Amino acid sequence: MLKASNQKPITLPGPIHQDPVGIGLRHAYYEGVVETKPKVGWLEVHPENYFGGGANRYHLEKARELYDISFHAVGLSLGSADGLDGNHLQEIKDLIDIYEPFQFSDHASWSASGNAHLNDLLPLPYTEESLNTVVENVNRTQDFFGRQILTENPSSYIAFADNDMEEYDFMNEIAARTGCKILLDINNIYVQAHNHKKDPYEYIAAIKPGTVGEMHLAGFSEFDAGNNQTILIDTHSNPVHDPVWDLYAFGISKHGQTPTLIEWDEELPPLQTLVNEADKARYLMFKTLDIAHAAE
Amino acid sequence: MQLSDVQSRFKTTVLGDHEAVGNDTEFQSQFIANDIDIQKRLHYYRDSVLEKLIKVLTITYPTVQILVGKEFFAQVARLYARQNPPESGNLNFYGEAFPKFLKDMEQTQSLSYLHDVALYDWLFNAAYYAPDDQPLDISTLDAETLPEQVLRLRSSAFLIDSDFPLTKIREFTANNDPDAQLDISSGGEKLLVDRPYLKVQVIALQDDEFIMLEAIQSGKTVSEVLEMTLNVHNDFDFQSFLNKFISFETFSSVSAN
Repeated sequence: MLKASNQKPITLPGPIHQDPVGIGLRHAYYEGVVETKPKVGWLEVHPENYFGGGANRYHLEKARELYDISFHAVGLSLGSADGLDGNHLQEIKDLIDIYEPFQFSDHASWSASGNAHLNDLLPLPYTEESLNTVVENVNRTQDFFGRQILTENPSSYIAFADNDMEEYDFMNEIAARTGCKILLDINNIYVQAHNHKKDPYEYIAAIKPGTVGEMHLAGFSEFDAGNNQTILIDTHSNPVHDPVWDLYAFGISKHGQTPTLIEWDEELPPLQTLVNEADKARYLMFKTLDIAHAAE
Repeated sequence: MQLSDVQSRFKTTVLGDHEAVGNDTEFQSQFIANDIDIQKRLHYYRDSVLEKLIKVLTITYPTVQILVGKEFFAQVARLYARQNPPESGNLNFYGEAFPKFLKDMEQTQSLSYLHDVALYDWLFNAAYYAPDDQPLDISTLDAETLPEQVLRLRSSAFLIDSDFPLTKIREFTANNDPDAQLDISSGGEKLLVDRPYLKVQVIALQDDEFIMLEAIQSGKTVSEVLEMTLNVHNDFDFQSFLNKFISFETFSSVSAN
């Protein structure tokens, strides 16, 4: 069900790729991707990195000639009580018009408050007020772009005492009330479940069928938090951990074939390491779905 | 607590003193410890926000970082980030006020060159991310009307006039040669930093060229900028100037005042 507040038509995201696994295109990979054309289905970029002009856009253009692109924004601040920044929306829309990404996503979190934009994925209390805020901001974004977007579940390191609902209910409601898709970040589910003593499998099982439009996989880092506790931080600086692969297979079994991204943003490894992780995700996806030929 | 209040106080916690994270007990009561100290949980967010901004400043100000050392740079950048957080989600242009911040700091008063070095770093960043525009189409130039027209510089063109040898300083730090020597008093430079296509370039300017370009940048007509320059340099050759900077693709357009 698609719903837009001003009844403008909303375009559906593109078809699921024959190769549904993508990798993040970062500055260090510009030349390697164009020269070696790795066997991945698509590339993901943060549109904010392409604000302004210059060499970054040149490299994106070259990569776009070879691959489909997804835009994964980090700065819309969909959870801000202050609303969205119209300039930020316009800059992204201009990029969408040029590069025609097959997916557009941002997070169910916030960055901006007053005159400060903290440029991070900060946590929301899961209350009706927060839900209304995100719904309003997602609706405005979809209306402005004239297309359906995806909203991603965040990693979190702290939980609010007055939550009215579980995070998965919050995500389901955003999708139900806006018609957006859910970007299910499997690593984030694992991280928040560890940090708040929740069950990650219960989370994935509770996400409504038909709402998941993309999955993300990444590596976390573990830190001693005292009191014989550890905390997981979503650093995107490691290979995907084994329990997250297991959770991913469960996610695929529940939600079917889904475009999947290998995210790696810090301590970047050689490009081939990402490609190997993408191979692993593809194999696991097809094996789980019993698509025999592709898992060979 | 309303969402706007939660976000405002979260922001204050992230940007406040390290030791002050635990001061707002009412705010802390909004969270569940779940066996991990709430202050510690808030510190993960504080570190994440500030480290990201320090990283942006480190990339934008590479010469400054080498001159003052990594540790001191990180301290100053952290303080800057706390006092001057980004106002938008566009981090490509974050840190414009950093040169002035450095100049005003008590600890850097002996480093008289630091402001200009920082500004020079900033101009590289500003030119790199400047909006793409086209160089002047010379067929639009008309010798008869040109005197009353305004030339415009490309979006990526920036001027800097310093008492210090900025190009030598940046080269010195980039080479990372422990045996190299640098004479900071070897003379100042007037420079044009711009990006004709993908790569940022630096052009050393004569005094008359700098006066011309600065006046052009301020929006004066060609006859006005020429008069200003001739008042100081009566042998100034406008034709050579025009040819040179058209070949460097410094101008974007010419139009009526």
